[in-house]
Amino acid sequence: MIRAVLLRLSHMLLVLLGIIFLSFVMMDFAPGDFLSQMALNPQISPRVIASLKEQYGLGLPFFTQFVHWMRALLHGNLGYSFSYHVPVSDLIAQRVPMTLLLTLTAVIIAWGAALPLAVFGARREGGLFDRSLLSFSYLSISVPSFFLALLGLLVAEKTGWFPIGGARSALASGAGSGERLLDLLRHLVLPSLTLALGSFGVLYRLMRSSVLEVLSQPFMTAARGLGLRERVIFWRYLFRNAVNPLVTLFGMELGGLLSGAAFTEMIFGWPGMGRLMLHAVMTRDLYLVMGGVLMGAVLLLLGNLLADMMLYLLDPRVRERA
Amino acid sequence: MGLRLILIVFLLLLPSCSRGGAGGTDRVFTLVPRPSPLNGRLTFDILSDPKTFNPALAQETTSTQVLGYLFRGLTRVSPYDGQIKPDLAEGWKIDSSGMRVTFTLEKGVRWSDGTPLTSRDVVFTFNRVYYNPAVAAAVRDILTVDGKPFTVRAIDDRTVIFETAKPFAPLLEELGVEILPEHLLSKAVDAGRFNTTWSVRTPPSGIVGTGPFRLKRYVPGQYLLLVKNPLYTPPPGFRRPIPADLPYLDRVILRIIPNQNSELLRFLAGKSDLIGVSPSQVPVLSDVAESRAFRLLVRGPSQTETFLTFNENLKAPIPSYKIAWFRSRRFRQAIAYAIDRKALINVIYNGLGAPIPGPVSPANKTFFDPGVFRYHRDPDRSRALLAKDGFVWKNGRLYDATGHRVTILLMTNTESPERISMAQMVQAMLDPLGIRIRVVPLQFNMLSTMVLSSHQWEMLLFGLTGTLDPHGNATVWRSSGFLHLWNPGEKRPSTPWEAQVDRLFDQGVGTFDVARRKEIYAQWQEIATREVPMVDLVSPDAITAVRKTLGGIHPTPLGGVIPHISLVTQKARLVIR
Repeated sequence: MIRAVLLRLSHMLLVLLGIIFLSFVMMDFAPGDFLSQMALNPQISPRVIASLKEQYGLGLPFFTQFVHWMRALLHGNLGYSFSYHVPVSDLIAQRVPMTLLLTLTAVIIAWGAALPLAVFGARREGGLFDRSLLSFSYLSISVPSFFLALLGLLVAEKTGWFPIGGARSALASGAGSGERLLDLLRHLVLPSLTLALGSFGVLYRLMRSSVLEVLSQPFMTAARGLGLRERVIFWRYLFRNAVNPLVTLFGMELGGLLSGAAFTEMIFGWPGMGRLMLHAVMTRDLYLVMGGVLMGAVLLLLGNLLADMMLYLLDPRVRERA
Repeated sequence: MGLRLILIVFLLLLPSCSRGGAGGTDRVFTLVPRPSPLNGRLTFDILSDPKTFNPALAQETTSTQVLGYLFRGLTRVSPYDGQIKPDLAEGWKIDSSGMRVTFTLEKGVRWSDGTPLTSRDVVFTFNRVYYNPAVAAAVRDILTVDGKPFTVRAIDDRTVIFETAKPFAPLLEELGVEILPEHLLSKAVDAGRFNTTWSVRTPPSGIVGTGPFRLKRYVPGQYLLLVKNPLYTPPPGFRRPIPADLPYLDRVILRIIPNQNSELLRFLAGKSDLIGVSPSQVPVLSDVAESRAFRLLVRGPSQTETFLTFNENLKAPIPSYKIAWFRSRRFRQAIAYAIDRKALINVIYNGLGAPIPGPVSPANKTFFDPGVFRYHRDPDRSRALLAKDGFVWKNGRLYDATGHRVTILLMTNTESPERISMAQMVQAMLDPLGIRIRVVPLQFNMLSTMVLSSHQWEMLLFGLTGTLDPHGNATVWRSSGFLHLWNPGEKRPSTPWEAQVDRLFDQGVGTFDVARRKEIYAQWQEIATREVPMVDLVSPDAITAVRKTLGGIHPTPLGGVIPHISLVTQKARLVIR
């Protein structure tokens, strides 16, 4: 297994390099750069733009820019943001915890709700509970997340139960830490539910069909025939087999932890990575975009690796092949 | 089955909705008067984070808005009439040559850390920061005359002399740029660290200005808290309605809410005190204004305006017969007469807007010429003008004298849905004339490359930021200007009227007498509307919704609803039950 992991890691490094290079190329191909927004400003002359271009190193040939950035990267330096005039790593470090708080909460809610409910529903296939949840999951898949988010805001405004956007009340700072935590949790409810609802539908349907498939397998009948206890049948035969296809999905979900919440962040005003990155892409803040791409790519690759390792542990067939 | 479930969900949602819908009437917004209007707080939302706390580096409006509360310049612009008033300066004297202006600083002004402000700070700000090639200052341009910086020197602690290579009338307005503290920043300049100094990571206490407020806290992506600067001294001759220290407010909270829908909902829920409103939101808002305790203030046409312009560049890589149409004054006038500005205002701005007759907005009370010619829709006029130019109609389609069908690509930028709908309306308005317009929305960067570098465009619908001083239009209207869109960077004026405009701008920039300048720029407006290289269209009304708790609020044509932030008060508390 260790050899396999090492091999995978070296592959990942190549893939990562490819992603970085391609992103850099794409940023270069897109017309204009960070300074283009100034081009049609009557108060800023081409002379000033040219001198800024030189300062920011945007006038250099593409390859030189790339090599400069890679060299800095190897020294652990992600470069400077043009619009914020601070190191990219600082900006990212500021935002990552908030995004993770949001996405991890959502993942826990979605998985925590979908898996047990799906097992429960599949065992009573066709019952009212199963059918209601199935329809609900249809709904949750088909309603776009931004709409759900807007709906959430509307609920917050109408009822006054939850804050409308943001992650903290401006004046909670004088309050004790317990109060502050409560304030944060109150702000967390709607965005995390919105995110969770989106993936709940997918998870529910996938897990349900997977459970149904396992239930129809001959080995289940065999296990019952052997008189195994229900708990053993459930954990060793049913759940373990049924959860197999979801493990891959889990890996993907890990990759989306940083970038998957952008819409929700925008609408709820959650101060996370999605917002930072969207703004960076729109203003063509080159190194900030690259920093975000790098983080996202690393997380996605690690997520896939983790999923494969989990499969290895769960599924003897995979072990066999390795 | 699915349907039944949707129904259930809706029923589940309904009670909260109806209770909430009643929220407008059920939840009552009441105003409880405060014992004193002083020491209150103002909360409003901004769309994005400030990018820097360094005024010399600030480039976009969020940063400049925040910094406007923390820093001041030598002069300021009166939001009511656009007159230049003293701010950090007590006053100034312009000598007879018009090339030397002597400023005297206001007595007793101190930085928020207690250090007195002196002329050294002013000299440092210009000579070491704004004119420093190593500093990424985008304002450097407006502080030059023909590319030459002003000469800035101190005579004594309170006197600074500015000398320009030529008489430069916009000087007084440009000297509204923020003055920076030498004692805190000179080290950073010496060490070449200035471009990363006073960034958004700098501890708030380190940002020191002379403005009415100090930065107390900044939580990225969340909010900024500004508190009263106890050392603030108001500009000379400032009338204060209540005899108390300025600013009247204790705190200003700017929440960063990146989404306009959330911003609106927050305002409706009483979480913020004021919000800029687009004309399309007015009908909804005016219904609830009473119950949610706010007023809608319409301030008249804003500085945002839209225009059409044509590619008159003889070297442009487009068919030469098209350039010939565009270079004909009659053709441009025919287009100007074909536009129904009222319809544009009604459809795009819900009827809340004004036609813009020429290059100066009516909002600019000082320089707008009320006698300027106004185009109105007159299809017969358009047809007559086109016929005079040899255009003919076959089956309702327009052909030029050489037999080319008149089809035009109209470009605009995708980022603005309003401009795209406006372009589509222009298309429909030109259709009865037999002119076929194809609307091409392009991404901003792509569009600016096509207009400024490759010149591969025909007709453009766009808007540019207006400036108060008409000289700010020189980059667009002077024939050599880099934003002389219809024919950029001409070596010499290619038409007599462009030569005339050049002369007027040269005259205007050197004339300090406001009445005389008005006359000069009125002549330019006259030429601009006769030759119509740019067909000015419409401008939306600037509208702000303001909670009734606030005092010191007056709609002004130039400065929003807050004439001066230090005069805002909080008269009442909002109680929501």
